[in-house]
Amino acid sequence: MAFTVREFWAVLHGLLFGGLFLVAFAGGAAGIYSLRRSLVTAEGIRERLRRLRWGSVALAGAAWITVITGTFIVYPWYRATPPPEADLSAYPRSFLKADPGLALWHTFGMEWKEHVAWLTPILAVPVVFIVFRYGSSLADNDALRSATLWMLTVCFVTAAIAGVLGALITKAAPVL
Amino acid sequence: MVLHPTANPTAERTARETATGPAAAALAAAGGGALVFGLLTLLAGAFGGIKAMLGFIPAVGSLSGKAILAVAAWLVVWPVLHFLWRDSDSRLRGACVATAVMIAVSAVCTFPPVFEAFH
Repeated sequence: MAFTVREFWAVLHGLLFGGLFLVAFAGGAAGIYSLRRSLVTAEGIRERLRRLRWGSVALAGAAWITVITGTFIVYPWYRATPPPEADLSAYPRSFLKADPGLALWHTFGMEWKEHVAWLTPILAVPVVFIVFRYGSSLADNDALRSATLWMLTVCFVTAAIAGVLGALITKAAPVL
Repeated sequence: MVLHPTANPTAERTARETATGPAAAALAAAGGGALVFGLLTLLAGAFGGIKAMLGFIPAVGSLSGKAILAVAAWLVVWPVLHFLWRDSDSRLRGACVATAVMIAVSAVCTFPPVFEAFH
């Protein structure tokens, strides 16, 4: 079993960084939802807040690293223009567009993925900011906690769309 | 509500620390960044000249320009809104509504059947 450099970066981008984001989302959502005085003690809030701070940084960091590696490292390999007579299997975009049965994976799938993915890191940063700035007072402010949880959920939706499409496109035309 | 100086500095400091204006600014600025990204996607779909101009990094194409400009817009708007709303405690609801609208518009603009319809 061996990985090419391109496959290695595709795995880092999609599985490692993207997977870290999904794990951090689950922890962050549970942490923010339960961060309320009626559910936990003052000591519990302090303990959860510590995890929430680290978790939110991991979440936003993973989102940024995922889109940056995806856009600036993996995507150029995906969209590279093949020379005449080249084997298109090494050029995923051209490979997909050349087959009417697969073209939709590029014209719809990749076009949506590459754009919607960029919303995730931008929307993740306010979550980190709010967790750090307001700290334990989040436990007393239902409106602010709800707004934070709502933003985190939107982040997850955009990341999930990009992640699922990325996995399916990679199955149809991997970056080799 | 804008916080006014009080005779109790501790209470004033606490009120400043918990005022939701900075949170509202962070949320709205992120929504603004998302909106800029969506509008650039729509414009690049409609006008080939704009799409070409957004190709800051040729290997990445117009996605590079959309991303860089959207992030730049977000990073410029955020400190401005933060400064303007830093002591306010009444903007969270409005900012959430505005952010939701901006994200929704961006989501529509980045949906391929929409931006390709203008091609």
